[in-house]
Amino acid sequence: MSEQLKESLSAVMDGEADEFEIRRVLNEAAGDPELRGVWERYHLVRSVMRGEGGTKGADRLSTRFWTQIDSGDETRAVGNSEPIDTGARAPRSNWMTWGQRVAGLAVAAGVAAAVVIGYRTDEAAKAPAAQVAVVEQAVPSDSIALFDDEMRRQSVPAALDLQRAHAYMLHHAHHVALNNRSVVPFVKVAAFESTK
Amino acid sequence: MLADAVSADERTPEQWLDTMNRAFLEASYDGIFSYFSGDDLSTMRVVHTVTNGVQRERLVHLNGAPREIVRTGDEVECILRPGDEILALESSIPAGPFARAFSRAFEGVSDNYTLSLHGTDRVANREAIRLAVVPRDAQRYGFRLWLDQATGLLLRSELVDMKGTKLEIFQFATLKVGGPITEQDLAPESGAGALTTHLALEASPPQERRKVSWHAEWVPDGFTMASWDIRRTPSSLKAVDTLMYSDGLAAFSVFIEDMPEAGAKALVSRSGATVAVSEVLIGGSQQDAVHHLVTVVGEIPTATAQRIAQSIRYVAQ
Repeated sequence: MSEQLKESLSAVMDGEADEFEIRRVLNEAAGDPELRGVWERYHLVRSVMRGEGGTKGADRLSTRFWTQIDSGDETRAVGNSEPIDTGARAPRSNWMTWGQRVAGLAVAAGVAAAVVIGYRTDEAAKAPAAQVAVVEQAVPSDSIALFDDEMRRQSVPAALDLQRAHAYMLHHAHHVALNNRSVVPFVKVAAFESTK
Repeated sequence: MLADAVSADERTPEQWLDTMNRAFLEASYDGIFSYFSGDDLSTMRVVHTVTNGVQRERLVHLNGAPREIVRTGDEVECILRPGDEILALESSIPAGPFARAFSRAFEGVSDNYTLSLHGTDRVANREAIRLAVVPRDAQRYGFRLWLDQATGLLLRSELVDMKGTKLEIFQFATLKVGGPITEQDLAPESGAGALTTHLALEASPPQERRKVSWHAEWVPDGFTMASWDIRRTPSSLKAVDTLMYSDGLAAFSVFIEDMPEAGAKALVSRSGATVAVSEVLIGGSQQDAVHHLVTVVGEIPTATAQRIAQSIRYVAQ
C-alpha cells in the first residue's frame, strides 16, 4: 500500500478527504484486501479506544464534552493531556498525527468515513463498488456528494429517491412528535424545509 | 409549581431530566427560540399552558412560510398555507397502543448514556445548569443540555456527534415562565387561505393492526421496538411496514415497502442529525423474490442506520 494511499485513508478517517480522494480510496479498497484490513484494524482500535462502557472512559468522555465548550474548538486536553483537534475543519493531517490521535484517545473518523468505507460489510464488499449514493447535507465536516461513475451512468441523481427519503424523514419527525405528547419535537416538523 | 422533594442544588442528573420532562408538560411558558439543524436556522414562538388538566400548546414559525401547530390535549392541528410541502404528509398518524412507550421518557436512559452535571451558565438571561448526556457507545449521539435552574425547562440543547460536531442546536432567546397565558396567546392567526390539518392521536382500528412481517436482526443495545404499523404512503398509497425504535432519548423508524415501480437505489441523505438510509433488499420476503426498499430514518449515526437497514429480514407469520 503506497504512502499516498495511506495518507488518503488517513484523511478519509479524519473526514477531511475531498470527493476525489474518497472516490480513489473507494476504488482502491474494492480490490485491495490490505487496505480493507488496515481500515478494519483502525476501526477496531477506535472502538477499543471508545471503550464502550467503563465509567472511567465515560467520565473522560463527558469531561471532554464540556471541555470543548469551555476551551473553544481548536485544541483541548484530553485524558493524557495530548492536544487533539476536533477534526471539524482542521488542517490536513498526516499519517503520524492520526496515530498520535489514537494515542490521545481521539475520536477520529466521523460519519463521512463510516459512510464511505464502513458501508462495506463482508457481503456488501462482494457487490459492485458503486451501489450507494451518498448525499450528505449541511454537516460541514461530513459534506460529501458522492456518486460513483458507474452510478452516474446508470441513472440521474435520484430525485425521486431523495424525495422519498425526505418524506420518510418528515414522517419520522411526525411520529416522534406525536408519540412524545409534547409540542417540542414538533419543532422538527415545523422546521422541515419546504424546498426539499 | 414543580414542587420537588429535592432542592435544585441536590438534584442528580436523572432528577434534572425528570424535572425537565415534567416542566415541559406542566409549566406555563411563552418564549421564542431558535432551532439550528444542518444548515437551516428556524425561529419559533412556543406557548404552553395547562387548562383543567389539558395541555395546550401553540408553536408558531416566525420565519418563512407561515406555519403553526396548535395542540389541545390529544388534538393536534397544523395551520399552513396552500402549497406548503408539509401538506403532502398524511393527515393522521395512528399512534396505537404503543404511544405511551415514549412517555416513559428517560427510563433506562442511564443504561445507554452517562449523565453528569457541569456547573452553571446563563441562557436567555436565566440561570442554567449544564447537563451532559454522553452515549456509552458510538451507536447514538450525545446531548448537552442547559436547564433552567428555577424550573428545569430546557433553555438550550446541543445534539453532538462523537467528534463533538454540533448537529442540532435549540436555544431560547426569551422565555417567560409561570406568567398568565391568554386565549389570544393560544389562538392561531388564521390568515387568508390558511389550511388546517388535523393530526389526531387515535389508535387505529384493531383489524388494521395486523403484525408487520419484518424485523431488524440487529439494533444497537438499548433500542426496543416502541411501535409498529402498516400505513400507506401519501404519494402512492402503497402499504409500507413501519417499525419504530427508541432507547429513551434517540429514536429511529424503519420503513419497508415493495420496490417502487420506478426502481430505487441505495441512498444516504442527511439533514442535521437526521439521517435517511435506503437499502435495496433483494428477495427479502420468503414468499417471493420481490425486492423491497428498506429505509431507516433517525437521529443516529449513518453507519448505525446502515447496519440496521442491512439487518432487516422477513418474518413468516
